[in-house]
Amino acid sequence: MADITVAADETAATRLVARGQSMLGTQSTSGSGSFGPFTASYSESASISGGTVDLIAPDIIRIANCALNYSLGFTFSIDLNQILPSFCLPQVCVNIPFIGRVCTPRICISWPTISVPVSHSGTILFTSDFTLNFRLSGSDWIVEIIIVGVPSLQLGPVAVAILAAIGLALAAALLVVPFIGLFLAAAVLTITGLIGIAGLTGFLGPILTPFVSGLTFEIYRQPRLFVVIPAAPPDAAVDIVIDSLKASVVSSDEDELVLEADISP
Amino acid sequence: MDTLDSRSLRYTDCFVQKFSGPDTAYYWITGPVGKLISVEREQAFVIRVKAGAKSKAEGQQHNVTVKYDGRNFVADPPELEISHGDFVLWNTPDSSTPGFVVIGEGEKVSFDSSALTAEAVYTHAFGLPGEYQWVDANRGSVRGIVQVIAPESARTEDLKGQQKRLLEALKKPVVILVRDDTATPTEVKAMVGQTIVWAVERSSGLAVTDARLVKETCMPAPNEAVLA
Repeated sequence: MADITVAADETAATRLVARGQSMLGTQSTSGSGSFGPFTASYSESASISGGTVDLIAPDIIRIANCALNYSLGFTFSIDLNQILPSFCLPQVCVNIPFIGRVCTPRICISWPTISVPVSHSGTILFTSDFTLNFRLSGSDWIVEIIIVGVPSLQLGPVAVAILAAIGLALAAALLVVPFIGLFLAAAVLTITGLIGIAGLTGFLGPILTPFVSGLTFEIYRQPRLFVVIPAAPPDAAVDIVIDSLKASVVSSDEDELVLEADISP
Repeated sequence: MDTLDSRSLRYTDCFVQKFSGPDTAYYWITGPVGKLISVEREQAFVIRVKAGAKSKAEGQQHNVTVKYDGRNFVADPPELEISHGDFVLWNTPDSSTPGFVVIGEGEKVSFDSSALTAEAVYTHAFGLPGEYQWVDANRGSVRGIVQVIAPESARTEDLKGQQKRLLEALKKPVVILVRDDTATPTEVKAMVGQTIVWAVERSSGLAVTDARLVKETCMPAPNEAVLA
């Protein structure tokens, strides 16, 4: 039988998980990826928060509706010559009394390459099982939960929202392209159609999934050596050493997260 | 960027100069700042104006295409032989050609696309809608406003039809006549892509320029020295 036993119900376990999520903080990364025919450089940051904790014996902590809060910014370039039709201003002729009949040449428009910056923030909810792990790290005992497998992130709604953001950013970027007026609406439709939901989902998966893959929260930390203060003099303080620590989920009247420790002396 | 500036001609601009008497004119094509530096005649392009009876109404147009080889501007053809009363149009078809100026002189004629004086034309096709206030960057008092209106963005299924109708509309120029310090009319409306023609009968040296550029730049007037 353990020398010390501590138990936390699901409510207390939820608080422990929340603390662990907060300690993880915001993670950031950057890189490049492709969606449809376009390549984008991106930077993103994400944090984890919330969720409902369900304790499942012998060692599973299930967090339902955990939130992946992300902020994503990316820029992609488009050579408009590959999207827009060739367009030439027609020859213009005018009779000028003191000169004669002047005719300008046909002027063919060269479409530029534009850069489109897009930013989008949002939240993706996911549910996943975490398994308990306990270890000695330096002079501390650590109890942590580690995600089991790679949760499936529902990226469809996110892709829809980002495609809308791309459409708005595109329209703004195209507005300053000379002579585009007639082609503006068609250009936005064509480009967002080329990207598509599938293209965006393929782009988002590899850049968002790493935030949840291998996710680990520290939910409890205890120094191996701790001092017990005497109740009253002349008793002296006593150094207690936690020789071993074990964490598990126990189902009895209710499900509880149980920590058992063996101490000396 | 859509720039209205006859001091720096781009691919949506044209410069026209009439040659009313027999002469041999040597001219240079340079960047807007390069006009301040003297160039040897051996490096100049040539227009030989033949004598002969020709009324003003019979003038023939000759086209010179301006190109840029990475270091210098090149006129194609480099030499022209024309009759008096004819006129020459300079233009570049390449959007990557930097802004340029055409400056020339002969025994009886001098011309400068950044200072239009007599029987000269500057044209510009606007690419973006808006209200453009134009002034004379060479400190003349002539000025005006061009209201540029965007065409309605076409539905994808009607793109070709609307493009065809737009092209027909773009064939019609809008003309502003300049004589001395007067521009007629002072306010015009045009569609994006439509060509505005400044026809200068007589002027002290007009540089048609977007008023916003004149406030931001400090280009000297034609006769001002660059260095004290």
